[in-house]
Amino acid sequence: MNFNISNSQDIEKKDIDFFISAIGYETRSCFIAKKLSSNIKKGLYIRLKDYGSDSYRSVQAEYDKLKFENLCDNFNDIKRRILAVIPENEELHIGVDVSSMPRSYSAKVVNSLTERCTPGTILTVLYTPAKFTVPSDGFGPVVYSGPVISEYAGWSTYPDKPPIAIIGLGFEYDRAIGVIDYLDVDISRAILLMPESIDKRFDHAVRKANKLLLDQIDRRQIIHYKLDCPSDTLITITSIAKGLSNSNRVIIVPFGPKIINTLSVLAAELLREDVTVWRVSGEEFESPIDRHSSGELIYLSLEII
Amino acid sequence: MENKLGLFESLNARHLTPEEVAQRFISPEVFDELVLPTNSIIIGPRGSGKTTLLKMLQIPAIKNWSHVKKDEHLNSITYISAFIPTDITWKEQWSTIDQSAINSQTKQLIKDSVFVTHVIRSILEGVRHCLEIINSSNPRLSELSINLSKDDERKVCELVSDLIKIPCEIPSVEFLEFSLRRRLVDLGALINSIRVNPSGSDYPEYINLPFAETLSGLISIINLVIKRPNQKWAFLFDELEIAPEGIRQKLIRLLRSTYDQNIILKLSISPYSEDFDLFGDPSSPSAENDYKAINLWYSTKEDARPFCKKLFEQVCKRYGVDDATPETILGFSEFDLGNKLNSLSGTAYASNSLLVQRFKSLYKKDSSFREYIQKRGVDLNSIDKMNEEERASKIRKITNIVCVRDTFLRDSGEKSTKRRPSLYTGATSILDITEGNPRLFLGIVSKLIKVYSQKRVQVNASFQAKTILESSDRFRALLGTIAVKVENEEHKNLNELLDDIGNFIYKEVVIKKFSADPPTCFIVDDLTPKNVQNALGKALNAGAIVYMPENPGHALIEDLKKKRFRLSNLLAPHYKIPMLASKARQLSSILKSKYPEPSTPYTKDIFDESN
Repeated sequence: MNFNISNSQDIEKKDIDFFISAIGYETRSCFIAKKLSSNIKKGLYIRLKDYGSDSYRSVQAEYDKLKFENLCDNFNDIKRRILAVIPENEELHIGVDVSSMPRSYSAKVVNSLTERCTPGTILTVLYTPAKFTVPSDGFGPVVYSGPVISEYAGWSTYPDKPPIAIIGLGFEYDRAIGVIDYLDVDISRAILLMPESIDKRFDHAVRKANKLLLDQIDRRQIIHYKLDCPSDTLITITSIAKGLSNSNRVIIVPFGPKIINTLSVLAAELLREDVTVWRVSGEEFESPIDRHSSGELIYLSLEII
Repeated sequence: MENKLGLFESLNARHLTPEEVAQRFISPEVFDELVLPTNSIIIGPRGSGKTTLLKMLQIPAIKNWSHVKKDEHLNSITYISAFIPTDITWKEQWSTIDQSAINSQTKQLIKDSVFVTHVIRSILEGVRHCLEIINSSNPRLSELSINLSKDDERKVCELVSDLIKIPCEIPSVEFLEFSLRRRLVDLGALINSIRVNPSGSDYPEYINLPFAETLSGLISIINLVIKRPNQKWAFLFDELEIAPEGIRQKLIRLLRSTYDQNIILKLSISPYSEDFDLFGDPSSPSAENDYKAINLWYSTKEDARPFCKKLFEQVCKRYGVDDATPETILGFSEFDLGNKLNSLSGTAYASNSLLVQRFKSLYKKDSSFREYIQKRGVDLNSIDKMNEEERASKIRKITNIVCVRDTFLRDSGEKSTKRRPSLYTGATSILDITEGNPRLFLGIVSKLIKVYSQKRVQVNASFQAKTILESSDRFRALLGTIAVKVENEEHKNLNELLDDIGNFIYKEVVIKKFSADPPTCFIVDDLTPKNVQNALGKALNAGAIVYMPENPGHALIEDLKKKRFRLSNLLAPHYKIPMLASKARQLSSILKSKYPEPSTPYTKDIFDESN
């Protein structure tokens, strides 16, 4: 898929033909849907695993009020259902709220939409950051370490070229430095994407969780990105990856806020086989944490060309 | 961009060209065996030097290597090498075919085809290396050089193109390499189209190329054209555990000496894989007849020390401090005080010595240790008057345990301002922590030698301790990223499993009644759950646990059951345990005991320098 960054009209004033989000245990998963409800013509949700939490029930109730429909209940049905529901050959405005979607799900949604979307369609990625909660210490569960989905594994015709990593920093304790060694990439050449949040407590937590890595690298390896400027961040990731891909196999590992995962996937859409987007996950063994919206709405609109 | 690590600390040979590898290369004894024109399997965990050793067999590396043994080794290198790299990221790319709906046989053919294309391209790269040394002044290198006239080059390209079913628009080796990359593009497109439309794809003829026969045919063509029918070729397959399963199994079978006499296989592999049961088959290759197994790990710290010392000397030379000994730079380890000083001056056991202070300190605070010492009739004020044999059995044997126990058992209700060096620092301890693993060694020790070289003053214990802790934390971060299968919500990452083992040993050594022989090893018994065995296999390949075979020999493991292991010494500071391989306990009983990490009031932090 090729696209241009669309001049961002105020999203609250723009009609959305199809709006795709997720129902899960996070209360924030319905924040954007509620905020934009008067603009949404057709609302769809992907049902995530029900851990029996109260928040799940209340989110379901909100979506019922908004008259959203169930798109699908599992990952394997995402593409089939999107191709069935989203009409072909129409210029549409499609919104995707990635706030509560697992990274593999949002990647699958974006990839499925690239097959379906006609030039002229506007794709808007939406995200609401969570209210700050103190992150847990220690290592989380890891049951998967590989491409975010197979469509973004990339394909290198130069397997002898050295791999290089662009790593988004999150507050998973020491995970970034762990994955650098796991992938056998050169730590002295890794590019680290450091988020700048509106709530500075997140930034502090990210620094703390990655202290071991930050103490070992040159400051010039760190690229700061503003969470509320996704268009700039997309351009940054794409241009860095493009530049590095001449001499290296580029692996993007987008730890951190979920929107960085989606921006990485969009970069991979532009750069195609030159880039791998990687995911490390505990899947269903991660402790479900109910995250509430901070009240901010961040979005990026792209025009498919 | 400034490299904080410095020139000599680029720790991973994967990132280096053969020339750069040669600049940094410290030749272990096993290299003498590896260079021989025979099949080899190099076995070792991460960072043990497998890639470095294979890359050193390439012509650009040997050419750029300055060493007294260079010519001697060149006499053995009668073969042209082709280095075939692989890594996790690349493996994940061609593994995406597994998610398609086509049959498994076709999946295997496509994966093999990707790998074969990669191998052929690597062989042609090897040919290019030989073309580049045509004017070498070294007679041995000159013998390996290839001189291809335009006509010869055309012949090679035409015959190879026909063999591997590839168009030959421009008859040059370089264009052939380009065409192979183009083939990889086509294979990527094929995999994508299969994913979208499994039944609608056409399969090109070349995916049926047989692996062994194709490689054999390729070098036969080259040998024919260069008129060297007996020219040997060495295919250096790195990280074989990442190769497609079909290729891996074929390569293992090809180690039989009945394969092509002009092909030598040198394979590098991690110690554990479930398909190593191939070696158990009666028709499988044997270590005595068909290949040489080269182990790059050490069961005991004593085995690792000679190589560590050699590494140490080489790094000192590079920093211009070759007159310094490990003890000059790092001081003496508490664990080693009895062994070192005793032989020098006999003062290690004087009543006011550091070692005896340790024993007395523990004697004072630990009634079970008191009981132990009294039962054996040891007078702590007269250890220096004991004969050597008695001292060895009653004192030296328990020194490691006493040091750890004394360090981490808090004096009840007492405070002391006495400062003590951090327990795991000092020359012998630092070398032992690295387990003879070059990557680990260079990561820890190079930093310390560099600091010494700047001021020529012994590196202080707290900086040594900080460096060890950073390495240990980094290692655990890596282990925390390795995916494991979780059952019953237990051991959701590798560190949780290792924590169970480490905390158990800590309890046995520090918390329970004093024992001169606490269990510090474990045996994977039949009651160990399968998912735990799988996780331990990954831990072994990562170097987090070390295999302790009863008999030295074959180090390839396809089944962990009934085998004895210990934790890596690098994890000893984290778990507050001695670097000691003593008796073993069944793993299933360790996992059942589930000792939580001790709470702070009872025990001290590892690098607490005050009492």
